Amino acid sequence: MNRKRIIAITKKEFLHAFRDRRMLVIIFALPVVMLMLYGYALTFDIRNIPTVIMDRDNKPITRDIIKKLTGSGYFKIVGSAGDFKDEESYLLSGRARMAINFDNGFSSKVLSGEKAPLQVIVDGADANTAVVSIGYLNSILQEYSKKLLIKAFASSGLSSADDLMPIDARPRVLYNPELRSMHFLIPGLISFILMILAAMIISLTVVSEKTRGTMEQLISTSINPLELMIGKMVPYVVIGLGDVLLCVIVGVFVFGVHIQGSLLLLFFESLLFLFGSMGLGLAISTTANRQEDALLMSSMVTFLPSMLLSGFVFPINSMPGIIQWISYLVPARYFINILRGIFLKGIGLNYLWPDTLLLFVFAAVMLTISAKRFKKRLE
Amino acid sequence: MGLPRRPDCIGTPRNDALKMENSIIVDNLTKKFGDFIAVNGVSFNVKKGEIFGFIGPNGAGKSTTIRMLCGLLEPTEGRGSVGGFDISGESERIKEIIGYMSQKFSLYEDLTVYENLDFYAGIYQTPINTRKQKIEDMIGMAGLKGREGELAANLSGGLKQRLALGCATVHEPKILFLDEPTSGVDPISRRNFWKLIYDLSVLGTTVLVTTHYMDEAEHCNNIALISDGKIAAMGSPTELKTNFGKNTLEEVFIEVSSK
Amino acid sequence: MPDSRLFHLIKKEFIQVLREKRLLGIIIIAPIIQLIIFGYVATTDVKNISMAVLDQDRTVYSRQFVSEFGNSGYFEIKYYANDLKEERDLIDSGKIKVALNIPSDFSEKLRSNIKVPVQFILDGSDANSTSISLGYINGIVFEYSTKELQKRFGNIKDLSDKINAIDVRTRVFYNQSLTSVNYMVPGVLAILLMVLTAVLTSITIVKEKEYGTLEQLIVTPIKPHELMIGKMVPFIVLGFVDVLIVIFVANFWFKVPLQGSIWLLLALCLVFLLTSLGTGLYISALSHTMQQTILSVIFVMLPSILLSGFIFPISNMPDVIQWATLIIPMRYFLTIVRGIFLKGIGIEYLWMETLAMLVLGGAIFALAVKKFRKKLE
Repeated sequence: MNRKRIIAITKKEFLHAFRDRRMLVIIFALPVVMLMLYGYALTFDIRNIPTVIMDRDNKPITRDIIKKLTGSGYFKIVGSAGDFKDEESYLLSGRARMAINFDNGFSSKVLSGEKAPLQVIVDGADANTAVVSIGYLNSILQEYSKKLLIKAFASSGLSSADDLMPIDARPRVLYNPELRSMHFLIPGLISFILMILAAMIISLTVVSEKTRGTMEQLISTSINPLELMIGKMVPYVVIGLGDVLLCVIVGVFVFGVHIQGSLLLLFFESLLFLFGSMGLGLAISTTANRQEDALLMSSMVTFLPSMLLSGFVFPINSMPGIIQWISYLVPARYFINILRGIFLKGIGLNYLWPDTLLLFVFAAVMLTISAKRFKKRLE
Repeated sequence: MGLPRRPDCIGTPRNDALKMENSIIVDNLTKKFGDFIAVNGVSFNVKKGEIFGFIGPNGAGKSTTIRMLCGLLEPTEGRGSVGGFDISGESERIKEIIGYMSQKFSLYEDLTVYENLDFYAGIYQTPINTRKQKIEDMIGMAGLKGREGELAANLSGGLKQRLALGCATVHEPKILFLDEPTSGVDPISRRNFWKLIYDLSVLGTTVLVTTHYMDEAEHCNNIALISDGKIAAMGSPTELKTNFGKNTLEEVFIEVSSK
Repeated sequence: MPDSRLFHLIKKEFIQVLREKRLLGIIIIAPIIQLIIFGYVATTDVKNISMAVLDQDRTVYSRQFVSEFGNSGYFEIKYYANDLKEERDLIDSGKIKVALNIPSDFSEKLRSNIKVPVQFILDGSDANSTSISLGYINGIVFEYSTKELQKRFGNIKDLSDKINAIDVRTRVFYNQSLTSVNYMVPGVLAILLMVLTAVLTSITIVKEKEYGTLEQLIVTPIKPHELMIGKMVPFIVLGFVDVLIVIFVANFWFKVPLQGSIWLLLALCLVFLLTSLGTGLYISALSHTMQQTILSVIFVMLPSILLSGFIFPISNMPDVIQWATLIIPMRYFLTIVRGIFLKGIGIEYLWMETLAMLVLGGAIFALAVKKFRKKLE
């Protein structure tokens, strides 16, 4: 293998990549844009759920409950309804996603010790938000109930009001006590970007050389297929690691994400993953003759699975069994697992070695396949 | 020499006569891309039914000139008229009466021979009653009889070239622009292609062709040698050879462009 | 129309599309794949939360407490740990998400009416799932507590009633099962339509640019608007085919029936198409190679899809960003599709969204046309 030739190809690829300004912008801007979006906008943490109230009772107790609800920050009162039809129209039009009804006599029932029914209507369309908001509503109301209970017990002469509740649940949240989503999502983003970069771009550039005829030109020189492969991969490895660095920097300095584990391990694993994805991209490029086909295949094989089946956004255990099995085939799944371990848990190879091994296998297999095919193609 | 005014204006008898004689009139045509002057004050006339050659190396400004005449580019300065229509204002009318073939052949690879021809015939709105016959004629001309159902992608270079010519002439244009039509095609196909061009010229079609093959230049009635955006010499092949005292046009060109 | 230039253009486009077997395959399969993905995969439903229990009491009482969680349907008790280290190991390795620690004096304190602290340790990596888990935990603990109180003080009349002061009765509208399928499936329609038409339109145009046939077309008497319409028509048709496939599969396979009017839906799809076609057109005017086209399309569409409320609710976003989403046409289209599918509402509730789409879509389309025209000349 001739090192000079490899360097020549690498140089050319770098020039290609950096001269196409649009591609550059996208390569470096996309991760940052995604990070910003996920950091500031995209979250499942609910806030200000538009709620409509129908308070037929209108006494201090109901007003108190309403104040507690708005005070929590989870709910925002957008209006009060006069009757059920009115309320329904709020829900139908989407102006409100929750409706809370206090019947006439609610407060007196509460004070006299009768069961006081509180009707809540939830727009279930967005199931996740509905479930979470019902959860929050219930806990706020439970808190209120508890307070009433304690007052009642106190007035009945039973002492130590607060000790009344039999169970004192003490939750401790590990790794991410503030429950911030960013720590969870950055690994997914990194994986996603690397996959796109590696697989799509490589397959597109290789195929475009084919269609433009310059591939033939290269073949006619005495170049070794492996040299060609390496030459093509190096710039994208560099760009890929650059992107990882960018994500880490933005995550740490803009979003205050702390990397609990080893930075070195992070880069090492990213490198492994990059090699695997690039092998995949190259393999795809050997099967496609036209850009459209390369595009199609790379998006189906890389883009979609690495976004959806890897645990990036949607938890894998919630998926149906068959699909969970399929997700075992998605390399991004292991990579994200590893990254999350490093970012959040601070664990090292002692826990991560199985996943790392799998990534290594993935990289080795992909590169071997594409090397073989490349060789065949060029001869 | 004044330029003919728009057809509905009253021109001088001299201008009208010029118009009738010449299919293409170009006066001081210039095209600048920023600071770069691709075409620099080019002037020439092409008579009806003539085969006019634009000869010169790559980058000399041949393609740019043709594209201005076809309405693909707006000239920076100068005027031109094609078929009596002004290239700066009436390009839509020009497009109806011209045919164009580029060196890329511009065929739809995923359409069959017949479908390509049928498409262009439809686009040019050739008379419906004669359309089918015309398409058959083009197929015959291109030597593709029996292969109407084949995808254009599967044709050899020479056949693609002739199919492309067929697509460019299916509407019987008065004026034909050919931009390096024989690039990358074998000599025999090239010769056959020129035969087709002769046939068209005999029928009265004006042909403006650009090429960098000197031997093809010999086939033209008149040629203009272009170098660096300017016309270095113009005349019939014989005239040029005589005037410059050379045996071949190639020698003439070398002499002229070295100045 | 019969023999017009436009007709021939459209005919050619259809021939090309229909001949492209792979493309056709995609057009039919893509909706189905997307439906499967978003119907089954993309679920935010939190269930089967893996739990480990460290029960240091091991009495009937503690076991009963534990069973409240096991029987809740939310948690799945996978391990019984022997000590804290084992427990921590299980969490670190990701084998469990929640650990429940019952102290050795659990039953003792319970029977003496003394408050018992019970520890829950949660893997906080996935903040969303964790909040939901916390919600479930609090709910279960509260239930248990009130039952206990009922047992202790049930005989004292005054008190037993106060134990259940507020009786929350929740009714869920539009998506009784509270499964995310119902929410996602209509969304798929929107995504599909947008992505398919934008990508395909821009690719076919840029492809002609790359192959040189676009230039050939410009030289003919074809008008720019004919060219554009010719390019868009096949994809509008295919887009509708996909919409119908989605509605069909959604209804019969996913049991997400279309509650509202299908005609209204189709009509509003057409309005939405202005946006995606305009986007495709605009990008194709700016791109020279297919690589550029694809990357540009991704770059433009990905953020707008993410911000449109498809997966992440707009109401959760900071106010500033919520204002920004007002210019994303997909946001309105999602509301419309979900409204028609799940709520069965009509134009009387959707007129504002329709208007917004018309205005935005119209603007994008007009800009695209202008840009395209200019590039052609």
